[in-house]
Amino acid sequence: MENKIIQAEVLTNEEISDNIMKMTLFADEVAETAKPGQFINVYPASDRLILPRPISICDADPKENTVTIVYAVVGEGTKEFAKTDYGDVLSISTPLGNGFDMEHCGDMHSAVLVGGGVGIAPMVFLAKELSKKGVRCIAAAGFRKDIFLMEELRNYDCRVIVTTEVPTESAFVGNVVDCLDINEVTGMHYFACGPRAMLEAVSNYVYKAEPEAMLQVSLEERMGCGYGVCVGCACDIKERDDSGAEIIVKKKVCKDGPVFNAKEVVW
Amino acid sequence: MAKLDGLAESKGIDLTVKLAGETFSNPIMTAAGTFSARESASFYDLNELGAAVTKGVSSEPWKGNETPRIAETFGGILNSIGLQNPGVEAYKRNELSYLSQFDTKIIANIAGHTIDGYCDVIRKLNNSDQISMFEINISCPNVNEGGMAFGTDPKMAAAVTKAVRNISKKPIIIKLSPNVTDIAEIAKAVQSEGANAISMINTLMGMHIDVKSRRATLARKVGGFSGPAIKPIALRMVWETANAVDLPIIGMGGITKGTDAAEFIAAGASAVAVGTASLSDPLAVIRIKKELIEYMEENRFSTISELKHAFNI
Repeated sequence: MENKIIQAEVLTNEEISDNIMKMTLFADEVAETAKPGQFINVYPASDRLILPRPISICDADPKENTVTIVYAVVGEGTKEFAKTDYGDVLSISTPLGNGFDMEHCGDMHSAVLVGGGVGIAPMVFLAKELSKKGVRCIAAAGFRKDIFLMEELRNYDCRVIVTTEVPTESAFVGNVVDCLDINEVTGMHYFACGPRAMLEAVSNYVYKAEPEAMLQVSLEERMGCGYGVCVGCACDIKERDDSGAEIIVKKKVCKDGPVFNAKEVVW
Repeated sequence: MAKLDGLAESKGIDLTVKLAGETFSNPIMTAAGTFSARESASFYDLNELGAAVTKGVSSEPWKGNETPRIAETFGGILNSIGLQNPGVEAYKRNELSYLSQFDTKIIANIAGHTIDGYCDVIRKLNNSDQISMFEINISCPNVNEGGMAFGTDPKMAAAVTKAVRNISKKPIIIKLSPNVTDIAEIAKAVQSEGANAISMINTLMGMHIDVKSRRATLARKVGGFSGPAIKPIALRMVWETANAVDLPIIGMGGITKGTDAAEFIAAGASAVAVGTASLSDPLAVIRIKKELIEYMEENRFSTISELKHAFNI
């Protein structure tokens, strides 16, 4: 039984931006095994809320036995989580999904991390793990208006470039692709998480600039179970059949993903 | 022996149930579409199951519906998966072969667009010793052809039953749709053509509208409604059907706790299946089984049959 449902104590739960919450939980079994790009299911306590909320892991600290998640307060479930405080207990799963592949990246010296909105959250954990491997990271973060998690990224030696859709004092105005372009960001290893339209735009940008680059994208889809039984969160992925011909197959975002090779995603 | 079966035995409780000539270690099964061998086994010991009812399998791979396929409603969910499955050959290769390591009964849920479609799958699984029974899904609300169209018309339901009964080497369970005026009438029709058991209920047709995006939440607009919100309807239908036919019934519809399982047995079910609860809690089947044992212990029932007959409904 590699997966478990555990009762995790809330250590901190603070609003870091408008309707964006950052929560740290005491969860040794999550902290020990978590990989960047994985998520946990958080189960609402209310009986009338049936589905878990899949929330990506923003950081995990096996020494302190803590896991940090960042989530947007969008519906009843996340409103319930937002009300929890120090000492409250939440029912959560151990880490689910495949996470970003940092093993099969060949000789990776530098990486470009791209995050849109709350999609920047897994990039914090990724930057931490990549910097441990000696990989230099630059993160392009796109927000609608309010900017968050920049300090956390910098703390893990990640250079940050920021863009917002709404003009602000501190950021370039535009989308993340414009931001990559203006800053002349190039590289062979890209990791992205955010809305589907953003991921597609990043994919087009990356492969136009460098057809041989490796781009891993973390897809979003409305999930049911989050562990691969209900097949609610399907996506189309290109594969090769036994004869080598390209075929399109349905994959489960929660179980087979959420991270996929962008070249294999049918946009 | 699975841990909870041992626990029951140590309390003098016999959980075994008989259904259509087959003996099951306990009455708790999975509901098709909410169980997947490897994924479910990542959370719990599959040997605890009375039966593993596998996801609907068709002759060829089916792609299912567009996403979003899932929406949450008050006390329930809507789904419009559309029976996405890799087809019977991949099912044998992956799901069945993986399940062979467990000492649990397997009920294969069968999907088809046509009567021939159902028969084709049965032919391909007939000689698999691992499978104890076939459950014929004539009640999926999420496919355009077949599925619920067969389950909402007594003549069609009878025709499917007759065809699959003719070729099947294993007992046949017909899974009924609640989207009918008189479910007992459908039950009688399938009984007359030789069905060995009935499972009920499949999901109710429902809809959810997102007032922010001003669209139906599901890409297919409508979907199957399940979860604790539907339990009273499911229970009523099981009770009506149990009073109308002599077939054993696998009851399901919103079972979330041990006493829910007891209610379905009291209404006339011989066994129960846990569906949506496995989304709310991946270990729901184990918890429900444990709670059922506790309930039986508190009420001094030593067999499922005793529990069933202790009620006066």
